Amino acid sequence: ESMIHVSQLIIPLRNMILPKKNSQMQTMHLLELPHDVLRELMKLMSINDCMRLRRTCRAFEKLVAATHTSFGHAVISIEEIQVFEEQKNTSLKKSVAVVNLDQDRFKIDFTEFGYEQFGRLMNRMFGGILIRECTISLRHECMHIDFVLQLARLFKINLLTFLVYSDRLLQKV
Amino acid sequence: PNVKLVTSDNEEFVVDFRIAKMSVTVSRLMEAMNMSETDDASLLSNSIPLPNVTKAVMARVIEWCEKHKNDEPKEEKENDKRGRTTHVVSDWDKEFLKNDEFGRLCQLMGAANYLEIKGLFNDISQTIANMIHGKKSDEIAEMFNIHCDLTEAEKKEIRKKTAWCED
Repeated sequence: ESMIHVSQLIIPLRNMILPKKNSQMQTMHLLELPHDVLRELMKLMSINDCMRLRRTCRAFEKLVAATHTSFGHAVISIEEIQVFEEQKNTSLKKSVAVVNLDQDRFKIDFTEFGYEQFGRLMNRMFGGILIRECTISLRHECMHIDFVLQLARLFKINLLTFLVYSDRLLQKV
Repeated sequence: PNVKLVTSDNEEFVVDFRIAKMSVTVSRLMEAMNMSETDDASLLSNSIPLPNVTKAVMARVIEWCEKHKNDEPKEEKENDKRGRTTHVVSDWDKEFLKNDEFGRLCQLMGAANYLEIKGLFNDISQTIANMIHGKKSDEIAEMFNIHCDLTEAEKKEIRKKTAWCED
């Protein structure tokens, strides 16, 4: 008796449909399509497109958040960037992690967010994330092993590769 | 041999057996009703009811199927760089879908899903994904006639959550 029928969940979505201007033909709203159809559609969209779709209404906000997503290839590297500090009126150098996820590129500020927060944010946006191939690329920098463990905990990764470029780095290790 | 398909608004479409077979749903129904290509009587005495498809949409579906009836079975190619599948929409298909008002595109997508015509479904979903690509939230909402029911505070919260991945 306490079970909610699927149709009850669908009604709020239908209520949101506005009458189309000057429509002569019977038309249909995107949100009237079954959820599995919309999920198929999202598989073809980039993460940034998904994020923007998410901000259009509550129904999409929920749908995108509940979607499992997967990426083909993640390349993670560390870069130094110039940051301008308004209060002190100076610019300083800062290390950030640059994550190239398929066609999208994210910069993560170590100091403010940290890797763990990044993972949490990612997982809050989607129900689960699969990365088929993850490459960690190190030129002159060191990366803490905790980060790698964290990464493995937060995402399902099929293959993890390390690219180490310089001899100096190996000496450092 | 021909097969009779009956839409939700009681319109009867007579199509070639090969066209009917392009829909997995229709194929299954024909099988369940013991209709076979070599048994004319079975095709004549039966018709396939399709309660989820209207006359107008069915006409479009058949038009697409007619064009694609001789297609080789396509292998789904995965675009390894993105790790996601990208479907190639042919010029004819682009032209075919170009003039559909968005609401009708959704109807057609719903029908392709219900009838299980994979090629048509992929064409439409790729077309919609391309329409969304690179657009701002309010542009997407306007394009798809989505009424935004998020409060300013909620929008701010989502923006905060997703700020790191914005362009």
